[in-house]
Amino acid sequence: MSRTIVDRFGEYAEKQIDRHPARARKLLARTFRLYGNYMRMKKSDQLPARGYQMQHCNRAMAASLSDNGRKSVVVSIFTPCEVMHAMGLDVVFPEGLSCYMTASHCEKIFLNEAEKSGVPESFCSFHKQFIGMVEKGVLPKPCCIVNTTMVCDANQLSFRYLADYYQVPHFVIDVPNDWNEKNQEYVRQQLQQMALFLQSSSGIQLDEQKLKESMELAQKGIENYREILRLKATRSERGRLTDLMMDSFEYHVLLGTEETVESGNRMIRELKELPEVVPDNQQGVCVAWVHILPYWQESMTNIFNHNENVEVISGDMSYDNLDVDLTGGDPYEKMAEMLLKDSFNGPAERRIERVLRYARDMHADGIVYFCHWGCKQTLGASSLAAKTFEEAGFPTLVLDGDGCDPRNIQDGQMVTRVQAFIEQLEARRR
Amino acid sequence: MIGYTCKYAPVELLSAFGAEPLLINEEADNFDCAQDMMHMNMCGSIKALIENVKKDGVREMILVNCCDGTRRAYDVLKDQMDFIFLMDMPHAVNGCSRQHLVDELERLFTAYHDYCGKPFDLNKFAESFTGAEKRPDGDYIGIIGARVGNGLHDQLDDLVPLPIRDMTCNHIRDMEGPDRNVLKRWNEAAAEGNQEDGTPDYLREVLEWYAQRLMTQMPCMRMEDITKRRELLNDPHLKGIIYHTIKFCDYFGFEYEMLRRQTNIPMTKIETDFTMQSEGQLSTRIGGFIESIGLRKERTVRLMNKDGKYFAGIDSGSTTTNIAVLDRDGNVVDSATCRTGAKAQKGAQKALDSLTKVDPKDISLIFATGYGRMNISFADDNITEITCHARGASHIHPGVHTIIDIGGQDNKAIRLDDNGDVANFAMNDKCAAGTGRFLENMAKVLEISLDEISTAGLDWQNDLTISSMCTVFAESEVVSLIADNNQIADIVHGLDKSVAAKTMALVHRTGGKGPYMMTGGGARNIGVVRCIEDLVGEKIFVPENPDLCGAIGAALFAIDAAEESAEKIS
Repeated sequence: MSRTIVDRFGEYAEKQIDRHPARARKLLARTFRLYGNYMRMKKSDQLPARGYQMQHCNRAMAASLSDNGRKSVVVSIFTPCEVMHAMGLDVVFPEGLSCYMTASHCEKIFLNEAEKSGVPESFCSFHKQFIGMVEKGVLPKPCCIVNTTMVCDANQLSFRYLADYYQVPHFVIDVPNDWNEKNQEYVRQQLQQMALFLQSSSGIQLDEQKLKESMELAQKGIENYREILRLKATRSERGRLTDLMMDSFEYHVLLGTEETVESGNRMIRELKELPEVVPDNQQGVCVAWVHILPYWQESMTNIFNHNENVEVISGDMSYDNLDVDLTGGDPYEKMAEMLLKDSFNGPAERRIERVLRYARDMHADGIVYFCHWGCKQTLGASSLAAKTFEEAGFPTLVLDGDGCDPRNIQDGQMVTRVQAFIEQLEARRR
Repeated sequence: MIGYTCKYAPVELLSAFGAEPLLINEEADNFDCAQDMMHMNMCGSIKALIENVKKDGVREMILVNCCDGTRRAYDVLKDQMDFIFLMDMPHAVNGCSRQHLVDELERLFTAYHDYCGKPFDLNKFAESFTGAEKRPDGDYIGIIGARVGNGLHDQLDDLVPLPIRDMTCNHIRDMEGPDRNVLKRWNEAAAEGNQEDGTPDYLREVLEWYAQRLMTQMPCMRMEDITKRRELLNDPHLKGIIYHTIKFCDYFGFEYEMLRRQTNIPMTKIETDFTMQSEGQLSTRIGGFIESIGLRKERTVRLMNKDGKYFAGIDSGSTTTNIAVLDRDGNVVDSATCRTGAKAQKGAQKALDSLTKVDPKDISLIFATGYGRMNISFADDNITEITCHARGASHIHPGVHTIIDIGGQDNKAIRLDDNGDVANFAMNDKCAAGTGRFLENMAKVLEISLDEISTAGLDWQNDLTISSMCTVFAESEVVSLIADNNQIADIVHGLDKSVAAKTMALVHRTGGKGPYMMTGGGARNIGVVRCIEDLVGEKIFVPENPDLCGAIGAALFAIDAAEESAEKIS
């Protein structure tokens, strides 16, 4: 097996992380930033808008690690961050940074470090890696931590661990399982307290006008993404798994920023220029993806990236929160509504129905339900989801894997299963 | 009967409607149904819940939104029950969250009332409170962490010489009922009649009181503020902690680590998957723990002739049985090793018969250790291999602080204090990764012998990493590496590193420090020893016969027993 340039970088970075964590932090931040710039300028098969998006996300990740003088807040991926953006706070989230570390091939040192500190082997590898970054001294101390209780048990553990480790203030948004007016009011009050908490922890005043602007940007972002999905229903982008991962970052913690709106505007412009081929002149098969994408796994990207025969058209981590209108009214109430109505919150059926809706609207041929190691909320619904999807006419592949820990996968078996599934979809098409 | 699983379940509210709540807490025989309905990598207690609901034909359930697993259990059971309710339990305890819980209780009130059609009976409600769970009188061993199935609870009860107190997540339910005055006030309010919609108008007050009671119990790990949990440890009668974790439930691994660093109370960790545990492994672990804190059950050793000449220790392991015979001064005068075979007793007899220098008749006392220690009828007593390894190691190499034992089916790290007593130990869980069995399998895949695999990795050129954690995955990874034409030396080196890493995780858990010593069959594997040396950064002492350490320790305990007897006689 030949070592790639990324392998070599990973080895070098791991050595630096072990010996000089502060230096490694700078190295990683610089690399993320430079790679983002490179992807922006690079001529490739992908839409130029994807280059802009990559640069945006990479800058955000680099900021997570930089000593740029700005204050940062560690958040969970579902935390509404419009308030943070309005206050000029950088947001740092485990899913994002862990993805980037794995893509840079320096995940092992963090995963091992976390396990050495007693983090259970079966713990979500995104959170595990994040704890490793903390223990290794690579993650800069944030001014505070905010997380929601929704979706993932790991939230209750890793953020408390971090708050203890850094001795920084910690705010938890308790999100009930279902939407109703009382629950919305319960969350609204908490979000209002969160804004006060952020101000006292960071020493920065929140300008309500800026929050209003951030909410407007969030609304525009959501409208954009709805339009992007509508356009993608008839056009073939032939992108990469990484693109969908970037979507999930932009339409969660980076929602409410000008860059996310600009990224969406560009995508819409460029998608409109593509010919309408689906469903009548469609080449290859279309797959709707559920949950995390194995963007880092070479065998999977070899199958799915820029491939004329198969395309992953959507990921459900990017359209979980599109069914709300954030315009006007009390911003905290709107954010509360968005959290409670998220398809990842509440019963599994809600998420299953959402996937089905987009699978139908976007003319998917089949659905891949990805079981990320340690994610009990996804694993637990896998049988129910597969049964419902199949009954609705969508062949479904339940695929076990890991979003960022290569130790938890069986690569050869995954390839066989995915290829057999694609063959199944192709045969169905004929 | 309405099933529940969590101490926050509002069972008193349901009892007020005449329901009979029952804690579902049995281990499962298998997970066939659960894997079909969910996924194999779900937490064992959730899978066992699904199995028990199916097996016992449970038709009513009250679940609390306490973890991802429970939420999904609700989703998959929902359509198969007559009544099932998922109650949102707030994570925080404050005014707002209490109101939210009151709303939830009200929702349950309506749903169950509509389902059963019976009235809410205030007196039944008040009578159903059972108060705080009783503490054992005097000293006890606490079980903390994830819920312990009824079967495991009974096993622990048998193995621990003190009373045990279950302080896990579905116990220490602390629900005092309303006092007489409060109940009187509610009854008076109830007599004033109902609101137009039929909901009793005193209900909100009752539920507010009840919500407060429910949420201010000892917090479980999913609650936001868990500082109160420290109180669990502030009891002078708590003599030791058995910390239980469940595979794929992540809540408690964190607390275990925190306690390990912060408490001086002796503690051992066991991890289960909510099936019945192998008695052998459990008794070694718990027995070793009990011995290490000086709580061993009184021995019933026959009084010895003080002139006894030889003393034997038999270590009955999963693969081999070792016997060491010592004279009264602790010198090894004879030893033997043979395959254990299917029965511990036969293996031990074979070992005894294999002695060449000492006539078994001259042996005054025989102490057994190892997995089969309790099944050797001619042994005078038995002690776990944890304690025996510690004793043997200190005898062979005084001053050693950490023993790393790689055996056939389990690995151990044992940390000793300055007196050579066990300060802490850790064993691998059910998984075979990193054990002797793992290397044996890999040798088969590579088509080399066990002797060859011990040195095959020394001349590696290319630093390969076997990344899979699981034995089965690692095997297929090795097959791929062979297919990719990698050198055997490089692959074996990768395996050695993986065994070393797995073993070091145990060493870290015990807080291990040098000097180190390796025992067990794994100590004969030079490649593994070197890799562990790289990780600990110092030379590891390997005795001439690393398999004999436990047997020597057992024989030394036999000498002690003889000395004690002699003292009693004189």
